[in-house]
Amino acid sequence: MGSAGFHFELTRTVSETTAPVIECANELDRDSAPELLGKIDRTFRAGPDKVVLDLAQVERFDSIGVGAIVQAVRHARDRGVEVKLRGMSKPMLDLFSLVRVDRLTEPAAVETEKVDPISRVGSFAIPHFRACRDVLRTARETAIATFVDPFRGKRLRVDRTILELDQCANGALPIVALIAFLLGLILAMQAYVQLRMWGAEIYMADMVGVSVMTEIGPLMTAIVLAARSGSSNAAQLGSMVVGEEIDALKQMGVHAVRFLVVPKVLALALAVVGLGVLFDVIAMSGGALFGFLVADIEPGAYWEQTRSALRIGDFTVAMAKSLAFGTCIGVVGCGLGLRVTGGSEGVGRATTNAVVLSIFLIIIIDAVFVTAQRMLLS
Amino acid sequence: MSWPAPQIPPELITPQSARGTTDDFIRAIAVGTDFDGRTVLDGIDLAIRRGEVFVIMGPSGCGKTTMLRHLCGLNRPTTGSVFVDGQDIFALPEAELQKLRLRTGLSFQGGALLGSLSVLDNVALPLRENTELDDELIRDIARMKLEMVGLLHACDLLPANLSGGMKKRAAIARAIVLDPDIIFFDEPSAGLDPVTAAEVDNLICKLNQVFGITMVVVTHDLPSAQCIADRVAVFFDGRVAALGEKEDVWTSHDPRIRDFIERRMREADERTIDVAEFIAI
Repeated sequence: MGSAGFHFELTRTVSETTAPVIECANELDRDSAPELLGKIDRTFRAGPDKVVLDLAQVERFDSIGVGAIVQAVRHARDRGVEVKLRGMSKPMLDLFSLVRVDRLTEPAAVETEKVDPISRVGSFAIPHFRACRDVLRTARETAIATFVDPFRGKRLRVDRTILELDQCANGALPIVALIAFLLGLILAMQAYVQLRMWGAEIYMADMVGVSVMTEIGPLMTAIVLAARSGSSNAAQLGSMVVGEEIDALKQMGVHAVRFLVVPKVLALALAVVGLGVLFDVIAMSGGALFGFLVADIEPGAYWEQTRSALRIGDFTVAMAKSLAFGTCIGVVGCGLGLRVTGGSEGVGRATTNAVVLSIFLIIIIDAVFVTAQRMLLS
Repeated sequence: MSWPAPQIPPELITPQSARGTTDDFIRAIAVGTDFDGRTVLDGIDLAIRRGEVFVIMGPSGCGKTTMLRHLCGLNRPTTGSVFVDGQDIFALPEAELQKLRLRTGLSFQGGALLGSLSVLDNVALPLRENTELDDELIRDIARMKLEMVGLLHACDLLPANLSGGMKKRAAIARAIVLDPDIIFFDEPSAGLDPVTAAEVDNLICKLNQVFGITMVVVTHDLPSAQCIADRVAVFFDGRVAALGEKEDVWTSHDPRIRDFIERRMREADERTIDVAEFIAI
């Protein structure tokens, strides 16, 4: 729609009133609206008490043109000028009858009051506090459903746990194996560069074996599963909350934590332990392959060196750590998923928070384990 | 699918099945709810009789579904009490409330079927979780309930493969599987074509007549309400604007009720006045 032939004419020749009249002709649309607004603004600057907008010549208009009129009325109110519309065609009147002009021309909302620092800290901290409280509540309910309820005749859902285990462990297997193999190679390579200066290449088996088994294996496996299964659990349960499925379970007398959360938490705990062991074996194999291909270390010698470096105590701690990581990922993902509010946006938020909080807690748990182990050893 | 005319043996029709008895089965006293400082329900008093079909109507956002969730014990109101069969449900310990919930069924607006379970498993779930019955018997009971709602042919399908009407009927089958005393329906005919909506209405009436189940139905579908209701409450802005026998409400002279029932637009005159203010003489 072009603006050819469009013009506004400002005239003061209105009968029985001295109010300036702005006449708009032909088309009132996206092309002509800025010009109209400019003209009205210039008229307002002259400081009239009243302005008449003559729309009799308007043959075609669109929402932007009508929006310009609404804006002009709002600006007029802000300046204390009265605006009258004249010569509105029936289609334009019909369009105006769909809206409440007084609502549209209300002054813009005043900027919200400045929030004091304490309220600001509170508004930041309270959601995090609530998230932690929700996770702790889920952890408590999960612990009761896992360790207490079976003695009250409420069986664990083994079939569902196996299904969940299949989904999270089987699905993560290829990526965990690939990461393990590459990390084993990288660690061996880094160790080789340093150790060959001393002619102690064989000790790279010690370095790869100990670092993978005690730290890198459990940590990497847990992080992969937090990103993959923790987020998936949060999204799945969050969607169920939004779809009222959790309420339906409650109404049917089905304990949502026992029915949905416990199998997921158990499956994740077992998956992190199982995949952690697999990670260790594959990473050490990667190191052995590097040793054989680059450092001329026989696989038998490499494995013997690795075996002598590893202690059963470290292995036990690593397993306990993996179990704690898996439980933490399961509880965090499910806890945040079950308390989703705010529709699909809330599901997205819970999914992101599940990954971030899981990884953060994994690191904290790791630090606690390492500190406790060192204190016990010393 | 079309429902045949109900062939109900006279001995199965209990005295309360058609219109309800006079004793109050569910009673809400001064129920009020605030969300983020906004009042959703403001001192609602309701009494629902045993065996009747009680319909809560009103425009969108007037607090119907919120009230339903209070009545069935899912959400605690900010103020007031709800009594079911003489028990204040929000004063009960969780275990007792759970027992009471098992005497009720709830059919959600979207069905709320578990997406990972087949229709049969969805219907069987309350039995599996709350009884010690043999799984074969549970499956037979679930199949019987599905047959009642005309959905036996779809028992192996997943909820994602069902139409809107089928989901509603599956949800009703799940709601009746524990032989509840009360069933709550949230917008049972919303989003359905007129024929399917009529089928769902017919099913609600049939269940009420055959089993004498007390029905509490939230809807803004006027034909549906007219078809199924014994008594009606009309909500406006979180308050009860009308309450009584269906015929009395339908003939009410309250202008808001008349506007709602006759589907008249609100504020039409105000808009005309509003535009007129800006027109130059």
